[in-house]
Amino acid sequence: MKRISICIIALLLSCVAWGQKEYKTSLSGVNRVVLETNTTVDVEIGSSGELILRDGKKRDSGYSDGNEKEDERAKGLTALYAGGVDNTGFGMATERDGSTLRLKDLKPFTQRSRFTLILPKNIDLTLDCGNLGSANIANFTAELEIETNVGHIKLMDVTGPITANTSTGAIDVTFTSVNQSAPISISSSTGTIDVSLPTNTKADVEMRTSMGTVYSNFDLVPEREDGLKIVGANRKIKGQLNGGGVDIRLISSVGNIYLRKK
Amino acid sequence: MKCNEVENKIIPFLEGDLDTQQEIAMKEHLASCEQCQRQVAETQQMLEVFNEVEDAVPSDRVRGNFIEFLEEEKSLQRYTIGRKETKEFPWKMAFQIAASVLILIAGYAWGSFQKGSENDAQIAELRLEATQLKQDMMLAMLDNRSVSKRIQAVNYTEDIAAPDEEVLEALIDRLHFDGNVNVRLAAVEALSRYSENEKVKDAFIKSLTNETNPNIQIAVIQFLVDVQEKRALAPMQKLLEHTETPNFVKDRANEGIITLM
Repeated sequence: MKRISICIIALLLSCVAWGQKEYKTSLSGVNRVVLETNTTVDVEIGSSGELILRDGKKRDSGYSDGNEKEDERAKGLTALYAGGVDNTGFGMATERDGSTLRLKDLKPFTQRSRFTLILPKNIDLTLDCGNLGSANIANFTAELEIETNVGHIKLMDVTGPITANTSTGAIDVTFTSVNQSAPISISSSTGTIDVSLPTNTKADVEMRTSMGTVYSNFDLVPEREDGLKIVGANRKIKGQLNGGGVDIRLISSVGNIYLRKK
Repeated sequence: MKCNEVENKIIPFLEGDLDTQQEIAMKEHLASCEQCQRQVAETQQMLEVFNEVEDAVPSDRVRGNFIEFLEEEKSLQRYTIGRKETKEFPWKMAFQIAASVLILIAGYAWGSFQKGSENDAQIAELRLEATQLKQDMMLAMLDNRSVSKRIQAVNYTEDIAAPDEEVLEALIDRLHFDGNVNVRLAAVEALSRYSENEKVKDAFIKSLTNETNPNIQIAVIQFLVDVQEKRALAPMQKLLEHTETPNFVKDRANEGIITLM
C-alpha cells in the first residue's frame, strides 16, 4: 500500500515536472491585472483566489499544445531577456503597482504560441495581445480591456464593461447580461464586429461603419412620421434598446457590424 | 254640617250653585244656627251692593287716545324691526371678513410667489452646481485608469451644454495622448460637436498628423472636411504619401482633398 502511494506521488510529481509549466501567485489586494503579451491568450475563470498561468490550451487530457521544449543545455543557467527579468519562471516579468498586478511576456511569439490565464471572477483585466496574439475570454464579469492588432477577440458569455479594439481582427462578443455601470466600446478598423445581446438589454446603441454595413434584428431606426425611409446620413446608426441605458458603441471602418438578439 | 263648612259655602249657596243635598244640609244648619244666619244675610247684602255697581266704560276720548297710541306704538315697532333687520346683515363685519380673507389670499400668493422665485433661484443654483460637479467629476474621471470609465467621462461632456476651456482642453488631451484607441475615438466624437471652436480644429489637424489608428483618422478627416478646414490639406496629402496608411484611409483622404479643393 505504502509503495503504491509513493509510486502515485512520484508519478504525479513527474507529470508536473515534464508536463506543463505553471505559475501561480496570490491576488490578495489586487483588483486589476494588466497583461502584455505577443501570443494568443485563453482567459478562464478559476475558483481559487489566485492568478494561474499555464502553457498551452486546455484540452481533454490536461494542457497540451505545449510551446518551447525543455533545453538540456540550459540546466543550471537562467534565461535572460531583453524585455526584463523573468521573476516568474514562466518567461514573464511581474510587478506589483498598488492594487494592479502587471505581467509582461518576455518571450517572443515564436517561442510561445499560446497560454492560458486563470483569474478569479472579480479581477478587472487589461489585455494587450500585441501584434499577432488573439484573445479568447469566457464567463468574465469584471471589466475587460482588450487590444490586439491582427488577432481576433472572442468574448463569450460576458457582461461588460468592455473596451475592445483591434486593427484587422474580428471581434465576437456574446453577452449574458449587460452591466449598466460603464460604457461598452468596441472598435475594429477592418475586421467585422459581431455582438449578441439579450433581448431585454437596456442600452443606447451607436454603430458606425465607413465602408461596411450594419446588420441587426433589433429595431434601431425609428420609422419617420411621414413614412419615408431614412437615408443613411454619415452612416451612423443610433438608437435605444428597451428605453435606453448604458452606452454601447460599435465602430468599424471597413468591416461589417452585426448586432443580434440572443 | 258645621259652622266653618257653612261659612265656606255661603256664596255658592246664595248664588244657587250647591247641589240639593248640600242645600238641604245648609238649610237645616241655618235653621238651628243664628250666627250663620246672620253671616248669610250679611253676605247677601254685600252681593246685592256688588250687583248694584255699574261696569265702568271708558270714554270715547280715552278710547281714541288708546287707538292712536296703539297705532303710534305699532309704527314705532315696525320702524325698530326694520332697523333691526338692517342691523342683522353685518356689512361692516362682512367687509372685515372679506378684507381679512383678501389679505390672507394676497399673503399666500405673495408668499408662494416669493418662495417660487426663491425656489427657481435655488434650482438654477443647484443645476449650476450639478453641472459644475459633473464637470469636475468628468475631469477627475478622465484620469481614471479604467478605459471604460474614461469613455464614460468623455461621454458626460455631451450633457454639458457649454463646456469651458478646461473641459475642452481635457478632451483634446485625451484625443492626443490617451493610450486607448476607444477613448481617443470617443474624444473625437465629443469634440466634433464644437465645430466652431478654433482650438478644436487645431487639435484635429494635429491629430491627423500624429494619429495612426484608421478609425480615428477617418473620423478626423470627416470632421475637417465637414467644417471646410483648408489647413487640413497638407496633413491629408502626407497621409496619402505615407506607406503605412491603409488604402481605405487613403481613399477617404482623397475624397476629402477633392471636397476641400
